[in-house]
Amino acid sequence: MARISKAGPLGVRIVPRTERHLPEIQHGFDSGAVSATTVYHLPRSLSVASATLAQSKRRRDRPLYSIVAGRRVVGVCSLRAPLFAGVELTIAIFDPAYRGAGVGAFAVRTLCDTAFGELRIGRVELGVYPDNLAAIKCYERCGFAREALLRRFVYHDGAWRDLLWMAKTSA
Amino acid sequence: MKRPTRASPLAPTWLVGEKVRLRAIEPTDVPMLLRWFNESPARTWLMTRLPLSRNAEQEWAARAAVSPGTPTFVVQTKTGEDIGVAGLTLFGARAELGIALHESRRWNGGYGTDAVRTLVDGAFRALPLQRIELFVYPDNVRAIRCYEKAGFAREGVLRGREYRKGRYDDVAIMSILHEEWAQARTDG
Repeated sequence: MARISKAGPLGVRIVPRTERHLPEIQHGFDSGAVSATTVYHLPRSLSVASATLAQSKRRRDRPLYSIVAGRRVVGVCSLRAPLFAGVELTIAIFDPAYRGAGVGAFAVRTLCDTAFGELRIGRVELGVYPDNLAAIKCYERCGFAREALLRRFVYHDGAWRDLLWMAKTSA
Repeated sequence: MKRPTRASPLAPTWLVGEKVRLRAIEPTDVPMLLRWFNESPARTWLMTRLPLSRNAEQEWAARAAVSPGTPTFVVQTKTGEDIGVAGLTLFGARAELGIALHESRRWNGGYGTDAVRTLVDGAFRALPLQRIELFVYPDNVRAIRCYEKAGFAREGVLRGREYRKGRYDDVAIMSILHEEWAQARTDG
């Protein structure tokens, strides 16, 4: 999606990620606001983020987005290479004021439309910690079904943890 | 899950079970591997579809023989008969297990279960793995029973993961955890 989405809850838009967003995204991850629910935890350099962005722009099927309110970045989402099949959806909302208001569901629906529509991918999948009930509820409302509980699948905060795998298919 | 008994305390590898041993792949195995991959009845359940050329098979055997990321072995009965292939693909602390018993006259004899047990046991002893997982078509009932006997538990079904017979098909994922293997080892 090279385009900017229509406005969602609280006036947010899903926009293609740009260089200008990267410092705010770096701060969002470093602040610890999403470390309980995301898999990656070590500080990421801006140059790596910049290289990743440049790489995703060279191909249209691995798009990176920012969730913005005005000019401010309140979260990120993306479609990336799948663990199993189709494409994998990722999402993180840094600003707590933008949680519980349907912003996540809006982003997930926007990305699914892109995947099933212009990217013509038949399956969107994602992993979520089983105790992240708000996220699971959001994904289920968006049409995702629980497929598998992957036991001891990721290392997080000093322990091996289970990961709930969910997917939505176009059929 | 029973721990495989070793032939002798000085057995050269850990990969010796009760009915089979797992041996390294050698270049001389290529004609046999080629025949298996292109003709064996186990092909129905493989996730590779198209016929394989001699060159491709040679490359695969050469890679499988030396690559540290994909330890792959020939399953051999204790009487010295080669009956299939089993191996792992390593992803950090996870490994994916694959096995095919190509000689169908040896199906239903407990060889598959013993080969899976032997590979799982050797892998958890030799490698710092947290879990071993595998993918299996939900209608491959015989394989699923074999994996369950070897200690694997079903985690779920991934919809539309593999394309076969003209459509996207579901695939079940199963796993065995290090702690389950260690527990069975103490018990057994």
